[in-house]
Amino acid sequence: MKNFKKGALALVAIVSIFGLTGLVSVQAATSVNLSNADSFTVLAGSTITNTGSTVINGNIGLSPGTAVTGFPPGTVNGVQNVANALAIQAQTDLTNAYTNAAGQGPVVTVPTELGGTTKVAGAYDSATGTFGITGTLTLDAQGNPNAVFIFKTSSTLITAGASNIVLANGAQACNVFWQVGSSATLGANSSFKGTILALTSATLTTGANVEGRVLARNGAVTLDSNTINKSTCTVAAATPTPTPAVPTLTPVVAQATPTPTPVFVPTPTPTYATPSVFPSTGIAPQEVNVILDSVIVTAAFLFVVATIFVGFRKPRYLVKNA
Amino acid sequence: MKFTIGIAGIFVSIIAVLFLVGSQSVQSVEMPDSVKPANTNSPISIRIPKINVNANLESVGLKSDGSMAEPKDPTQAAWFNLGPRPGESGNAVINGHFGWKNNISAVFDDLSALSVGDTIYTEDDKGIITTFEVREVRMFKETEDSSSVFGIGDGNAHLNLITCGGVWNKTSKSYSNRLVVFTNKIKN
Repeated sequence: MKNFKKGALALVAIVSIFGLTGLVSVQAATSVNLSNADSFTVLAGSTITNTGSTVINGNIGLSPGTAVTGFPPGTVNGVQNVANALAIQAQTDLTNAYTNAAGQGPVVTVPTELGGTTKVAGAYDSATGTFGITGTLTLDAQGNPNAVFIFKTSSTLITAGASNIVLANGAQACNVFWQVGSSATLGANSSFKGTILALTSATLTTGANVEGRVLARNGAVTLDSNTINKSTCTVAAATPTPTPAVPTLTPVVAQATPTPTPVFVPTPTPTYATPSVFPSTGIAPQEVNVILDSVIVTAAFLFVVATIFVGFRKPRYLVKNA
Repeated sequence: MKFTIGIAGIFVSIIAVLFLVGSQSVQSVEMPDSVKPANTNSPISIRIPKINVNANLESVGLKSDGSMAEPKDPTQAAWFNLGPRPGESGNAVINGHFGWKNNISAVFDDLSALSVGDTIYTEDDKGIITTFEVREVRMFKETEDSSSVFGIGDGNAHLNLITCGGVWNKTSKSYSNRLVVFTNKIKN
């Protein structure tokens, strides 16, 4: 009986340890493979409509719809693929990516409002099936540049005006995915990070900026004076390979070298301050009268002491001798 | 009689103390607050072997008059954190004081002794050392436009050092000139 109790206790201990380990080692979310949709900054199903001076850095695609309007005044620094084979394939791949994101787990259920919170890598959903960002959402990669963040909604994603997403400790926009069950709306002048995979449509209101992608399966992508930069993962710098020695022999027959088509990659121009006034780096020269001053003060002090000393001694002396 | 001499002594000493305090207040230089340190890869020290400079760097921005702030500590230099870091494309700027205070010399007192070809090293918070070579040493008037020292430049990495020079103006509490040492980054 005693032995049985001991055995039971050991069993409970083992089970609880395993249980605990199971809780701690939650399998991390994995990056969503976008396949052909990867090369698109904006992809839509029905229409792409723009108002104002939107800048899209990267390719745009539309399928099965055919109406892309508002460029200009908008600018696409990339290729427009409208109802062509690539756009059709990208939509198929987007569907797969959407399904992949929706199926990722284990899922942590968190409140709808993401603003004011910090999230570490993982897959998240909310009890209401919607997500909102008012204020700042911080995504903390905890030093792992491959940390993946997946946010899943069964209906909407709505961000407030001027809301923003901060990528902390190595988090990268390329590893952030928003699987949206219906439509996504980004508030005016908000700053958004990650790839939106919307079942229906995505609307960027005036001045909303995205580092990532805006991909809508069936509906429209509506833009208004936005900047959308396709996110690309930066990988740790590889050890430089030593440059092989340049052959000195000139080939007799020149081989045709295929010229790679240059890809437009916008280089962000850093904004630096350029003060036009020189700084005041001067210190006043030390003046000789500092030393003189010290001498004067010391002399005056001694003089005062001596005067008081003499001034008080003498009358006493006189009184004594009187 | 002795009483009169005593009074006179106290009077003289008060005047002397006032005089001393007055002359010292002229000496003190208003140091602006330095701006909070910038993020990673910020430069932390500068070394100029030729003039025996090995100083820590403060990270500073702009003052209210639009000019670059100076280091709080005259023995340290200051990096302008609203411009590129030393080694990045553009003109990184480091300034330092010139002149003596409390019998201690300032960091860039001997900057004028640098000449073309001299070497300057900066180190960042990751321990990366960047080497620069003096390209030009030039004196500007205090009132000249300093944009050329800070501007984006030619796309290469430069480090420009600024300090004071010329004659001290008691009224404006400033020197008449600014000494600028222009350098180019040496490719490792």
